[in-house]
Amino acid sequence: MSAPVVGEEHRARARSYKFSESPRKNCRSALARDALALLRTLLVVSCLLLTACATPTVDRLAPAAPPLDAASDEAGLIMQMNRYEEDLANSAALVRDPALNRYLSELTCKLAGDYCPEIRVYLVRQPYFNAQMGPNGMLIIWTGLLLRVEDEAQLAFVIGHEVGHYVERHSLARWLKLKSTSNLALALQVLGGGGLIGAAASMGAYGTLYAFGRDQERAADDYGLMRLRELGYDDHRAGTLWAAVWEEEKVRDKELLSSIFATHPASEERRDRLTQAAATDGGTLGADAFRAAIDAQRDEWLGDEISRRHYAQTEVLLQRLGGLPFDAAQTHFYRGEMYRRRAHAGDFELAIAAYRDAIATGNGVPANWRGLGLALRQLGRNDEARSAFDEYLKRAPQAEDRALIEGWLR
Amino acid sequence: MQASNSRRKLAPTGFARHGLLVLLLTLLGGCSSPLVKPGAQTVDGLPLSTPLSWSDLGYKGQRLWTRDGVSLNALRIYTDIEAGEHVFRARLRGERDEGARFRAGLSDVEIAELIVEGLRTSSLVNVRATDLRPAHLNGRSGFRAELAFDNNGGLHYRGLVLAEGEDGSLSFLMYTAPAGFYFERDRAAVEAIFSSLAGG
Repeated sequence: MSAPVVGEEHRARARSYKFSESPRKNCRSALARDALALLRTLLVVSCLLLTACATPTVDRLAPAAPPLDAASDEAGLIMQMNRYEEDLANSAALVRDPALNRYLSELTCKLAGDYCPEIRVYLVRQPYFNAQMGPNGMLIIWTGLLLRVEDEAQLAFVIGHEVGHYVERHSLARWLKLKSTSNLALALQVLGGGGLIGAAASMGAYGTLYAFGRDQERAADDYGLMRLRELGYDDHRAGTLWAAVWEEEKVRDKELLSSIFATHPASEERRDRLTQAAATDGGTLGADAFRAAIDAQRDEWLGDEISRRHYAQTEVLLQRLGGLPFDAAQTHFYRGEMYRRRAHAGDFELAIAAYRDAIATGNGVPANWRGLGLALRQLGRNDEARSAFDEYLKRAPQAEDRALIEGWLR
Repeated sequence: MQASNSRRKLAPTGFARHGLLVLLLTLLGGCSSPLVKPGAQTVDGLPLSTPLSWSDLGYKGQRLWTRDGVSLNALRIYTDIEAGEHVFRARLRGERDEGARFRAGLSDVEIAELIVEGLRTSSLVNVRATDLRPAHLNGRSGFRAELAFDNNGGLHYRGLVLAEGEDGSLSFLMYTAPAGFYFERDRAAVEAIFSSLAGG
């Protein structure tokens, strides 16, 4: 959870079509790109292996600590992170919804306590489960995480965990370990070489460097649980969240897909540890507040999840979300979208059932009838498809695809 | 003497010199892009006419025409994408990879969805297709649409698509350029190319 992006995002980008590249370059450089990716991986692994023996000890960060000596180890690290924060602040992937950002900042402030003035929250539109804390106080949360969280208590645990990394200065410890090898400068150069890959992906590259060790993750978990209890949240929710996302991880095609968990894979051990550590007798869930905060964005995030095209995991996620008091019609609709796009044997029938479930809730979103019409048409049930499309156009007279659908209806 | 003999041994023969020259020219030629001249021509089986010249950075079946550089204006021409291929001919990792694959029997609405999803998974955000309308490409029924998206750095782009997926394969042209200036500057020229393709 803590250490960023690299796993899924970086690997996904390495294998995905780069829209900005020419096909010729794409073709010609495929081997070179693979070789570079391998080189990066080897370099990082080498760094990590070389430094695995010694863990420098760093003191806990004091709130409102005085400015750093420019010549210190930490000042260099923070300068690097500040550059990434500047890039990130301009990224089109940043979610700028004022109310949601205010909610996240206020919750973070509550969890950070005396450290609140030092932490800034950035919500990045990426459909994976990830949050990340920079040593300069930059907290990055991905929308895929918010889509998977069920209530404020779960989100508070994640943020508390990240604040734990910040307070315990785990990034500095990592940095000092890496600096103890002569490969650091080269590693940074190679990892930072993809100037076009965007702030989020660059953060991912840095994330590999700052992948925290198991002891640091446990310490951050303990900090997160401690803050949950101090603020009166139900600390059972941490284990529940981990158990839920572990269910998604279990259906991953390991030969094909990278983990949904960025650099820090989910594990049964962590799920069990969090479950066993729960000690509160009840406590606040904050489910209503959380749902109200994400409600306006959730439709977009579900669409991003479908576009991820990792359908086995999405199916597990939507099944879980369907059992929660979110907008049921919305979840049914996206189940329909998922099955219609996957188009395996029997999927169009499942899509039709899901769209009809959505319609049966009384939800009048026109896209339900559009999806229904498309799925029925694929099965050759053209009369029913016509009826669904008629209803779609009646409900969405300004639909962007109206002319195409009318053309088919004729 | 010995030095002279040595030089003679090392000096290339006429044939070898010619070969080296050809090799050098070939390598130098590889650094530049072929120029697409204005006028009527057939591009990978598509008979079209362009009022402007372009540099072609692509290859058969996957042309990439640009005037000022790919990030400033790009006209991509994909032809004969078969069922199971990625919509942008991106590399897929085996049968189970659920990437944005073209399927035979997709409607125009679904092909437009596929192109949008292909763009979404190419590090672009806020991708939208608007104003979808029936159109013809090379005499076949298809559609055209407008595109809008932002790149990761926050630059806003617009685009145009002309596509057809009849007979189990997909061909399409996609023009993209920053919305600020380049899109409108060359829009008429791209529309003229699209019009020239209508009849086939």
